[in-house]
Amino acid sequence: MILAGLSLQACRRSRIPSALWAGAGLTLFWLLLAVGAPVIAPYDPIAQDLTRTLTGPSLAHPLGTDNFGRDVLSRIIWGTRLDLAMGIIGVAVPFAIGCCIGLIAGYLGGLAEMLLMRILDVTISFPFFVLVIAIISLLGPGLTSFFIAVSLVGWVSYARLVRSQILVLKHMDFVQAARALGYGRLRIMMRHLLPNAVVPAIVFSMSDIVLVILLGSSLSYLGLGAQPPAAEWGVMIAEGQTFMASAWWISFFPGLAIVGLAFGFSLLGDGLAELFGSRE
Amino acid sequence: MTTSLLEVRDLCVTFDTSRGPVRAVRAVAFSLAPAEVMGLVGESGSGKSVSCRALMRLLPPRGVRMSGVALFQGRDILALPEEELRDLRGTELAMIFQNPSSHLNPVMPVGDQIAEPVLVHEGASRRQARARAAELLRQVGIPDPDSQLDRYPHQFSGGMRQRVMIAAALACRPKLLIADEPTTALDVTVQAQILRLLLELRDRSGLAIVLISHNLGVIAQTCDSVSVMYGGRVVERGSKRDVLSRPHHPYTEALIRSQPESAPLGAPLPTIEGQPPAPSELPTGCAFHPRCPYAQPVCVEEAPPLEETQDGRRSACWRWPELAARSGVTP
Repeated sequence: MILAGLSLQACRRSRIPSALWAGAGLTLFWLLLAVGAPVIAPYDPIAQDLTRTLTGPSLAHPLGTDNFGRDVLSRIIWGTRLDLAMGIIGVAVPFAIGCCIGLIAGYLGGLAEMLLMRILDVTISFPFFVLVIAIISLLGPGLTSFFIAVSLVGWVSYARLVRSQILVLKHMDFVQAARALGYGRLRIMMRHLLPNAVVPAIVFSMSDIVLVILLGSSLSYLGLGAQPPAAEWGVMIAEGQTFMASAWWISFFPGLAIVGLAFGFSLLGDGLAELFGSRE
Repeated sequence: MTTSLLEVRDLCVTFDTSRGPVRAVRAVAFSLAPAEVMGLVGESGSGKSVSCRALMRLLPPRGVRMSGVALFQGRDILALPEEELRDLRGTELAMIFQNPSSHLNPVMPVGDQIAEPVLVHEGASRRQARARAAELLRQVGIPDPDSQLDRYPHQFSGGMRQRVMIAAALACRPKLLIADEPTTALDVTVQAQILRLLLELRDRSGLAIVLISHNLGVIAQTCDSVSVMYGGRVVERGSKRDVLSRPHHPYTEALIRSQPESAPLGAPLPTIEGQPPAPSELPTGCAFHPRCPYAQPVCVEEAPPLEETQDGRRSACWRWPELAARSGVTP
C-alpha cells in the first residue's frame, strides 16, 4: 500500500533526480558490504596477530593493522553490519512508534491528543543527546540500551510530522466518503490516512538514519554503545586515538567509512525529498 | 405512506457557532418510496446538503445539534448507535458526492476502493471482492474493467471518477443512494450519461435515490418527485410533473421562470431579486417574503406551515390557492 503510493508519486515525476541515483548506489554499496562481510573481508575482524601490530597500509593489509595486529579493512567491513543495523533499527522503531502516535493524536483528537502531545512536549524539551545519554547510563552501556534510548526519544519527530499531515488529511473529502461507506476508525486510519501521510516521514527518516549512525558511533566512541572488541567504527576510532601520531590509519579509515555511509543516506534523503518535494 | 423506505419528520440541524446558534435546517420532512427518485432543489445555503449529511450522520459530532426522526426501513437513523450506523452505511444507505476527484483516495487503486466495501461488510475473500469490483465497473459503464482495476484515480477523467465512486457506493447493493450534486462538476454530455446510469441502476435493482441539485433541468430529466428547499425548510413538495408545471409556491415559480430555457431569445435572463438569506440571518415569518412578489403583511409576521394543497401536494405559502388557481407559470 505504502509502496504503491510511493511508486505512484514517482510515476508523476518522470525524471528521477541524480541525487537519488547517487544516494541509492552508495547505500547499496554499503548494504552489499554488510551482507557479504564474511566473504569479502580478507581476515577475521577480531583475530589478533601480535607479530604484525601497527603495520601501515600494505598489500597484505591494504588499510594497515591496529595495536593488536587486527586487519583494519576487515574490521571496517564487519563494522558496516553493526553501524547499518544501528541506523536502520534505530530509525525503524521510532518511525513505527511515532507514526502510530501521530496518527492516533491527529485523528482522534480530544483527550488522547492532549495527553500524547504533552508527553511529546516533555520529551522535546530535553536536548536530544543529553536525554539519550541519561537513559543509557540508567540502563547500563551496550547496544540494547542504545536502541531503547533512541526509540524512547526518537519517535517525537515522526509523531509531529505525521500528526500535522493527519490534521489536514482528516478533513479531506475522501475520508468523509470512507465514513459514508461504513468503515471503522481503525480502517480509515490505517488504509486511508496513513498511506497519504507517510511520505514526509519517510523522507525525514533518511536524514535521521545519518544522525542515528553518527550518534551510535559517537556513543560507542564514548564507551556507551557497542563494546570492544566489537568491530564498530566508533569503537575503532576510540581505540586508535592513542596511536594517532604513529598509526593514523587505525582511526582515519573508520572515520572515512562513517562519512561515506552518512553521505549515501544524505543523498538518498535529498533525492527522495526532491522527488516528492514539489508535490503540493 | 406506510410503504415508504425513508421517512423524515421534523429534521432540524443547528450549528453552534461563536456568534450563537445557526439553524441550517428547520423542520424538514419528506418521504421516499422504494425505487423512487426524489429531487431536492434549492439555492446554495438552502440546507440541501446539510440535510443529507445529517441523514448519513456525517456532520461533525461537536458543535452540531440534530433533532427529528429519520425512519429508514423502520429504524431511526438519527438515534442509531455508532456501530449499527456503520453497518447501515455502505450496505443499505450510500452516498455519492459532488466532486469525485477529491472523494477518492489518491493513493489507492480504484479496484481496491470498489472492492473495499465488499471486503468490510460482506467478509468476502480478496478474489471474490476483486471479481465483484470488475463486475461493478462494467455495470457503471467503464470499458475493459479488468485492466482498469489497478489504475489510480488520477489516471481517470472526471466522468470516469464519478462512475468509480458510484461503483464503490453501490458495491453492497444499498437500497437508498443519496447523490449530492453528482453531476455539477461534470460537463453537460457526461452529466447526461451519469444521470442515465443512475436511472438504469434504479430500474435494475430498485434503488431509491435522493438527488440533490440546483439545476431544475437535471431534476426534470430524472426525478419522480421534488422537494424544494428555501432557507432551511421544505417549501414545496409533490410529484415532478405537478411541481414543475403548476407550482404552488412563489419560490418554485420564480426558480422555473429563471431557467435560461424559459426566457425568449435575446432577452435578458430573468432572475430572483435579492440574495438568498444566510442561515444566521433568516427573515421573520416566511423566509422568502423579502424577495416574494406576492408578499403580504401576514408573510412578515408568521411563517406558513407546509400544508397539503391538492392531490397530495404540499406547499408552505399563505397564498397558494391563488397560485393554484392559475393554470401555469406566466413568464
